[in-house]
Amino acid sequence: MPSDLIAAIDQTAANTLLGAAESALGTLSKSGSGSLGPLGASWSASGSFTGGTVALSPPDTIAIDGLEIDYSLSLTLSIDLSFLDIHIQICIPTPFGDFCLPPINIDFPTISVTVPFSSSATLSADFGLDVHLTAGTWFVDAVIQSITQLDLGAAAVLLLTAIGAAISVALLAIPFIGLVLSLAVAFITAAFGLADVTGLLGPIVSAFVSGLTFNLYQQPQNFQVLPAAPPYNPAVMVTLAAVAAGVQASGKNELVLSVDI
Amino acid sequence: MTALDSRVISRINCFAHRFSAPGTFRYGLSLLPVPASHHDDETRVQTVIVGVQAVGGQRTHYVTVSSGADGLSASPARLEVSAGDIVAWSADKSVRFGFRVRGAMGDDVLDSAALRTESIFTHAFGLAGSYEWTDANGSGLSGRVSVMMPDASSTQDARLEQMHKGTLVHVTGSQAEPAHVEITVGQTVVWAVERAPGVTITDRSLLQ
Repeated sequence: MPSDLIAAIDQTAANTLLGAAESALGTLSKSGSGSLGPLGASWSASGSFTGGTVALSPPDTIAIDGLEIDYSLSLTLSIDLSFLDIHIQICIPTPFGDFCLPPINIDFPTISVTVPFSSSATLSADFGLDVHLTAGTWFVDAVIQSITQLDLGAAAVLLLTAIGAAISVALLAIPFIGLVLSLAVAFITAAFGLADVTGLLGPIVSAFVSGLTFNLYQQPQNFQVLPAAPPYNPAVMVTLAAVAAGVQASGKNELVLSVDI
Repeated sequence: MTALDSRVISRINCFAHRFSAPGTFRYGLSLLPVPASHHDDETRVQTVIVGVQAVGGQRTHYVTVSSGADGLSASPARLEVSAGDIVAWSADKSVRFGFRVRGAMGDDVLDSAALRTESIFTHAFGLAGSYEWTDANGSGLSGRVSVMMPDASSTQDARLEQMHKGTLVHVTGSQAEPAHVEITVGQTVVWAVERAPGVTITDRSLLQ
């Protein structure tokens, strides 16, 4: 039985819808923990989506290419410096005789280094359609199904540089570190590299993408199609009994909403 | 605490004194530097018993100060030395805020917060910078310690070797010689004080 109402949009209109959906999604916040080589790492981040090109693919796939995620990250690294601990014994002639000081033991602490960082990543993904009635409103959502490509760009290299700079600043504030600074830098530099940073950054960005949902359309199940015309004509209400969505190829691919009232 | 201040003996400092004459030095340990006229509630008294000068020459004895549930304590609490020996007090890891040694031997007062004679104060410098120091008790004694970063071209072993070398500042009365010393990070300056009116070695910035 044919539907009572059919609405269709082509890929051009779908791109416009995508822009509106990205704005409506706003800024997302995520947090988590991981590791950077042997170093413990925790992070909090915020991200928002922009751009992307929609390609509609029957029967129900919306492919978005070049979707950009702009993110700001606060990364906290934990570094145990106890391997630098040193022991000093000094003897010196004084007017009162030769004097050997009690041994001085210098213990280096575990430090936390916070690295602020902002960048963007580009991804391509396939979205499926999810139609649902929730709290009296029909929603048509595009829900991510799979990531076909994730490009972090130069972020890993830049983050590696930012981490190095933050660690250097943190080390210089530690008393007595000047003596063993080169040792500390050599150890920390060897502890992790670009691959480790990429391994940490990828899951952080992916956390924003996991379960990503754009709302394409929403409509109250019961809505007014004609206002009241007093004194004799009441408002005309329509009830959307069922809504279906799919991609149909009819000359050109279109996102089609079919509604039964 | 890593501040330069002889009024508070911390883990990177040491206070020492040469006991030149026989007698008994009874002393207490306190947490905070207070005026010499203040009567501390010293619930524990430690002693250094100085005997006649030994034949074998001068020795250095070490007293470790610890902090526990009952406050500060010295180990050994009772020490027997020979005239001419040096006794050095230093803190272990349990001492978080430092300590002060104050007591009397006959009519003579010995106070690590007011250095007079045959006393030594040491300080290991952990951060580069210029440290203007002065006497917090107002004698006019002053000086400067310039702490430099190690030479970037030096090896790790060379740097660690430098740490085992001390630099002496001889204080006589209210004069320091040399008044200005230059060291590298991690090195220790040793102030040897004699015939002084009860002085401190205090970073001038702490007094502003």
